[in-house]
Parts: sequence; structure tokens; C-alpha cells
Amino acid sequence: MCARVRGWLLDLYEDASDGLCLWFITETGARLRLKQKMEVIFYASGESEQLRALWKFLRRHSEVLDLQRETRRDAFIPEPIVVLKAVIDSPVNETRLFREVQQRFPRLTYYDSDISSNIRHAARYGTFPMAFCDIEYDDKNSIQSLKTLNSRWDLSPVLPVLRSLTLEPDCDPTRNEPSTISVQFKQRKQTLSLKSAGELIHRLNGILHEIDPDLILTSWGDTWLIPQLLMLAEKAGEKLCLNRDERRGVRWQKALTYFSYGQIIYRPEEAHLFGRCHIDVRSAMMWRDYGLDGVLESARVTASPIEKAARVSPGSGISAMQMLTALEKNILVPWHKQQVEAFKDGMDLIHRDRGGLIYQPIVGLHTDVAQIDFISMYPAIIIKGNISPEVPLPNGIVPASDELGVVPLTLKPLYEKRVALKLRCGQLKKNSRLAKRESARASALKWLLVVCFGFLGYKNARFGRIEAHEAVTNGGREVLIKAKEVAEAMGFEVLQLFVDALWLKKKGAVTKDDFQDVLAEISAQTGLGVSLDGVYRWVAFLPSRTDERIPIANRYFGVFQDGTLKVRGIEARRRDTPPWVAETQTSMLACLSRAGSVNDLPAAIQNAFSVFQNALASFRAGKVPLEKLVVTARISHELENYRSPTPGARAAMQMYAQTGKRTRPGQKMRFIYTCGTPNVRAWETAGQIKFEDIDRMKYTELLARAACSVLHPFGIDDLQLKKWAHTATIDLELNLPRKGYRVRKIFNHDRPLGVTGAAGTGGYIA
Amino acid sequence: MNIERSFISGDTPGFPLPNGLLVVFGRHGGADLMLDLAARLSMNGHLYLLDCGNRSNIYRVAKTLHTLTNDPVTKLKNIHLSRAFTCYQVTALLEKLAFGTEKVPVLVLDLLTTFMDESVQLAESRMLFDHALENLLRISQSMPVVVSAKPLLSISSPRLSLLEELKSHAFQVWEESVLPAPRSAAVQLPLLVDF
Repeated sequence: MCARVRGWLLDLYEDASDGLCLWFITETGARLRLKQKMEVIFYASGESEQLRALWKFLRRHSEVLDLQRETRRDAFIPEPIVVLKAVIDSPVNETRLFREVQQRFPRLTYYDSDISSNIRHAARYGTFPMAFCDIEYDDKNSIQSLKTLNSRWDLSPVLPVLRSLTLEPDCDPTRNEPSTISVQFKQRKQTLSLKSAGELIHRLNGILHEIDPDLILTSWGDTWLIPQLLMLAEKAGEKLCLNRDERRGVRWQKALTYFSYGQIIYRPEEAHLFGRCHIDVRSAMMWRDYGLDGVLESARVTASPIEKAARVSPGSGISAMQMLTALEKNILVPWHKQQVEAFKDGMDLIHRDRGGLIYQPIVGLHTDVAQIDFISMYPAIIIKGNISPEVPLPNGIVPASDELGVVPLTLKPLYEKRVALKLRCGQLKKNSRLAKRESARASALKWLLVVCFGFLGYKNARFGRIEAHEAVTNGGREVLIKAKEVAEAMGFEVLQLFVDALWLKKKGAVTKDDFQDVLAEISAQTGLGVSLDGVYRWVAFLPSRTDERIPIANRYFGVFQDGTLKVRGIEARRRDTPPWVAETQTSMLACLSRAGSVNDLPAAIQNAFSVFQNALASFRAGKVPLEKLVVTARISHELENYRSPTPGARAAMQMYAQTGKRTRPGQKMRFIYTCGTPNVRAWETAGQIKFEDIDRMKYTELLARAACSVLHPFGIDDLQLKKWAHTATIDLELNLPRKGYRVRKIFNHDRPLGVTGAAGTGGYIA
Repeated sequence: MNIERSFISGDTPGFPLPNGLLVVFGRHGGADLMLDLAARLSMNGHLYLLDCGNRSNIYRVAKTLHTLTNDPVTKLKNIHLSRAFTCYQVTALLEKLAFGTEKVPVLVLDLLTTFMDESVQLAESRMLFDHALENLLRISQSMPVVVSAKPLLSISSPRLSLLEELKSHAFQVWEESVLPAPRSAAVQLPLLVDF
């Protein structure tokens, strides 16, 4: 007797006895656990003798359902290859058996061997987290048929109402000992004391049973809360029912330190649940950026479990999507990428390995400047140029092959969905709930697109190849040069080029409409989408701190015509700037942004200076809260391996010596600059710091430096300003409304004779 | 027999290089010395440069060549470079060279970095390293092979034996014992004439 139901897929995981467990939220709101058998296939290729030996080995195992010799396509080999196909009865058995196989036959090349069950299921049934499905199942809850009724690429998917329970301690457990935890469901909030283990666990179980949440959102859940609750449950002698699947315990994913985009990242231990999802918002990678809406969107398009999508980098999402594309297109997914870079000579390397194009800015203050951006330039180049490791690479962005490769095939729907969502966001009322949701979804997709280019050159990318990576930057350079030529031919001056953006100005061009023609022409000539980021009332390109004759790319701030600020490369954007400094600088910039035109700037500069002055006065009076002085820095090595420890490393060493708590590479360290030796104090062990202990000179210097960045373009001398900040005795002429001559003359975009617009040069405004 | 000696900045193994495996051991994988060596070898003909640690700063080679020849472009074309980012790629690359027909000197930059990758199991890494070393020794029978390595971090302690094994198979090991003097900060000339 079969039953039929329609519902959304919430969770899917492997099970030793059932094959797969799937949890659905049905149309009626029920939470339903079903099971499904799923065969798993892997392939091996190599020398005939070795393959024969593998065949003999595998046929002895009852879990191997079928063995066949087949011809398949390896993306990196032009001709199809002969492979041994092994069909295994369940994902759990496949994982165990493959571990044995690769140890016994290390010389063979393996394919499709370590793909997660979610991706395999997605390839076979079209499923993904929150997929709406039509399911038929028998009286033993075994799925007889499963049909996915919607797609990963739906713009407006209908989702069920998720029950979300929030758990968080009353303080940061790395700094203090929490005494209570707050439990919140919708508007209901309770506080539970951590003192009585028995009562806490009993009440928590009651809440979990009553609410039966789909999502448990915690703060410090991975690193403190869940371990603490489990410990208390053990103490109380009562099982804590965090999982919806009561047969299971919490699954722990061990901590990991890894390199990503030149940074060492630390991913703490993770607590995963079965039948519901646990997200620790403190360790969820992009939570601050796009929250739950973005996580669900990311899980949807990457077909990765919600818990995983919340925690892993966008690169892992792209990897999952590429594997899914390969499975769908019957392309083998290599276990380990073994293809090597073709030999190139030294000159070839110099020509090809150049990165993005940068045209140094013309330092100074400019008015009526338009910023034009290519829309997702690198993903667009990958798609348009058909850049993929297994297809011939283009020279420029004209594709060398008609058949789309794995990478563009993966990115195309993603790119199109993001563009559609962005367009929709533009039509929605700003700050409305729907606009925020759509914006979070678009942001999740943006991050996947951002990393797809870097992922082409990533060592462990299954479908990565360094030449493909270089082909993308080559395409980018060509496109940007073309855009520059178009703009200059139309009479615009190019103030800066930065990888995928141009800053243009022309006498008389002051409104958005004045730049539409150049936008259209650039788009027509390059074949890529461009957008006008905005027209600045004024923008200041900053020079190097050490030599003001040297321009620095992407270090600027400006105010668009609608009064919004854009800031890049200065202190307020840096993660290691203390909040007090960042906030003061932001306030100073906000003063400047209130100037309706350049004529109003002198008064605005005076206001900005007052903000700086007041901030310093508050600091000197000890009125700045300590947490606003905390500096956050990432530890990049094991502590013993520092030759000249950075302030962050010194703080980490101090904390290790005092508490035995070790900071691993990739972890962040918070500290305060103090007087004496060592001149830092770890925030976690700081206790009560007296104001006299603070290194006032250091913080004054940091604030003065931030103020210099803001005031430099207006002719205020950095050294004088710093000196004033430290001593307050120098008579700095800052009465700007009366001494307007000190405001640097607006650069009139005339270059001196004989100076050409060659890349890498920029003018110096005396 | 291993003959250990120290090198200082600017000092390079003597020419002509003998056939065999020579190990250069220093900070940053002895990259500066290896790249200078590549420049000098390219003056005499073709060579293979295998970069296993993303250290092939070809601009440095070009700069060195500028001091040695009026035609650095032709000499740069003598350097045949390939970059490997995983120990699987390193092994595949060395196998390709070992069974190739061209007999030219081989420089391997920062060999061990990829074998320290913790995402590859220790046994697997060990097996791949043995295979790579076998191929290095095979190539070194007919051509000079210079391999550079850097001191390994404590985090890599289970794999420290790979370095010792590499050194034990070399006929000569060059140890960086004197650190180069810190360079003075580069001064950029004004881009435009003052006006």
C-alpha cells in the first residue's frame, strides 16, 4: 500500500541500514522521515592488469552489485577512455569499500568516487534543499518514486514556513562565564539558568519537543554552547534531544585550518544535526553578509545541505555545482586532478600570467566623475569566452569551441539568476522586507560568482586549470583596454582603471544621462554588460602614505549625487582597525558627504575636523569604551614559528601563557594596545584594564592616520595633523571657511603636455 | 656521500653542474638562488624549471639575465616552466620528464610544499613522494637535477622525514646558513616629471 505526499526536502543524509534518510516538510505542515535505497557508481582507469586485479577484488564483495567495462569521457583527456564501472549498493558501503580499494590499488585513477550523497541524489532526482517534491512511499516509509516539481533556478520559489529556534548564551563565552542561555521562538523568549543541569536539560528537551524546530540558530553553538549542553546533559543523566532523528547523536566535524585567497582561515569544530539544521551564526561564513535567506539560496543552487552551505566557503559551493554539472553531462569527476600545466617558456609566462589590468588613478580631488562597472566581469568572460579546463581556450573572449565546457555550463544559469534578481531588487521598495530578502539571495549568488574565477586556479579544484585562470584575466585585460579606447574616442578622460571598473569624466558630463551613450558603446563593443555605479559629486583618489607622488589603486572615497558615500582602501574598510577609529573616520566622511557641492566642502571639512577633535578629546578624557579600542588580527602561523611576532601574535602568546588557550593559525585574536612590555593585552584575558594602561600614543596615532586619509585631499598636511593630534600645541590652520585657500584646488582634468595615458602612469597634483 | 656546505646570497653552485641530485635547502625554498641559477643555466641552453611552491618569479630571472646578456628574451625562451600545485601533479610532472626524451638540466623549486598538504593522507603523500624521488633519481643519472626545499613547519612534523630522505639521496646539499642581509627599501622614481 503506497501513500503519496507533496513536500519540501529539508535534510538528506546517509544511513547504514536505510541507504538514505530524507526529511520532508509536507504541504500539511507535517515533518516526515522517509528512506530510500540509492546505488552508487565509481569508476577506475589505468593499466589493464591493475584493472583486472581490481575487478577480481571487487567481485568478491556482496555489496558490489555490478561490474562492467565501459568507455567514458575524462574531461582532461581528448579521447574517451576505458574504465571499470563498479556499482555499489549504498553510499555508506561505497565510502568504506573505496577507502580499501584506493589503498590496495594506488596506481589506478579513480572517478566519481568521493561525491557526496546530496550531489549524487541531485544529479539523479533533481533534488536540492527546499526542493518541492512529489513522493510516493510504502508502509515501511520507503520511497517508491520521487519527482522534483521545481528547479534550483526558480526566481520565486515557494517555501514552507520554517520553525526556527534561537539559542544563545548571555555573554561571549570566550571572555566571560555565561550564567544563562536565552531560548527564542518567534516572539517567545525564555531564559534558562545554566546552574542546574537537570532542570536546564529537562526544560530544553520540553521546548524542543513542543516546538520541533527545523532550524536551531545558535551563537557560539559549535565552539561552546552545544558541547556545554551535551556535557550538562551527561551530568544530569538525561539525553538531550537536539536531533529530530532520535537514533542519532550530534555529528562533529573536526576543526580545520586552511589557506583561502592568501589568508589562513580557521574553521572551528562543527556540530551537525540529523533531521533539522544547526547553524552557529558566529561561525557561519557569510551570515553577516546575507543571513538565512542567503544561506537557503546558496544551499538551493549548490544542492548542498543547509548546514554545510552556511559554513563552507563559496568555493566549496562552486565545486559542488561543477560536480553536479559533470554528473548530469556524463563527464567523469576525477578523484584527484593529475593533469599538469603544459610547459611554457619564460616569455610566455610573462605574457600570460599578468592578472587584472590596473591603470593607476590620477591622485587628487575630482568632480563629476562616473564609475562604470562591468557586471560580474569574470563570470561573464568565462561564459562568453567558453573558458573551461577541458575545452580549447580562447585568445581574448571569442570562444574557441562551440560546445560549452563544465565551468561555463555551471555558471550560466547562476549568472542569469543573479542578474534577474538584481533587476528585481531595483524595482522593489528600498529597505522593504522583500527587497532585503531578494538582496540577500542576490548576494549569496554574487559570492559564488566572485569565487568562480579564483577557483579555476585553485589547486584542489576538480575542474581547475591554471591556463584557464590566465585566459580569464587575459580576457579581462582586453575588455578593459577596449572600454578605455571607446571612452577616450568619445572624449572622456579615464581617471582610473581597476580590473573591471572605469572612472570617467568629461567637461559638461554631470548627470547619469550624460554617460548613457558611452555605456551603450562599451557594452556594444565588448559584448559584456556594464552598469553605471553612479556619478560622483566629487571623488578623492589617495596617494601612497610613504610617498605622496605615488598613486595607489583602489584607495579612494567619494560622494555620489544622491549623497551616498563610497569608500575603498582606507581605515574604515580594514578589519584590523579599532571600532573607535573606524567610526570616527566614517563620521568624518559623513560630514563631507553632506556637502551638496564642492562649494560647500570648506564648511564640511571644518565639521569633519570637529568630529576628529571631539573624538580625541573623548579619548583623552577616558570616555571611549574599551571594546571600541579592540584591534582584531588574524594569526597566520603556529605561535612558535613567529620570528618577529606581530602584536596579534604577542597577544596570542600572552593568552596561551596565562590560560593555556592556544590560538591556531587562521583564528582571529582580539587585543588592546597597552603601555609597557608586551605592549598588547589579549582582550579575552584583559579583565579590568585601567585607562592609564592604554597606549594612548598608539591610539592617537591610529586616529590621526585615519583623519589624514580623509583630510589629505583637501590640502591638510599629514605631518602637521599628526603632530597636532599628539601634542595639541601646534597651531594648525584649520579654520577652513575663512582660510579657503587651504582647500586644494579641484583638479581640472588637464594633463600636462607630453603626458600620455599609458597604463601604470598617473598624474601628480601639486 | 653527502657534502654539506653553506651558501650565502649571490653564491650559486659551481658550473658546469655535474649529473646527479643536488639539494638546495634554504628559507623560501631557496627561491632566489634557484631563479638566479635558472638564469645562468639558460645562458647555456634549455632547461626545465618545475615550480612546486608557486615561487617562479620570472621577473627576477629576467632581471638577472639583463646583467648577463643583451638578449634576455632569447634566453628566457630557453626556460621551460611548469607549475604544480598538488603532489599528484608533481608526481605526474616528474614521471613525464623521467620518461621524456629531452636531456636538459632540471630545476625543481620548493619540491616538498605540496607533499605537506594535510588534505592528502600521510601514507598517500609518502607513496607519491617515493615515486617522485624515484623519478628524480632516474633523471639525475643523465642530467643535473637541482631540487630546492625549505625548512618545514612544526605543523608538518609527521612528514619531516621526507626532507631527510630527499637530502640523503643527494650527492650534495647546499644549506642556507647565512641569511642574506635585509634589502634596503625600494625607492620608486617619480612617474612623471614634477610640474
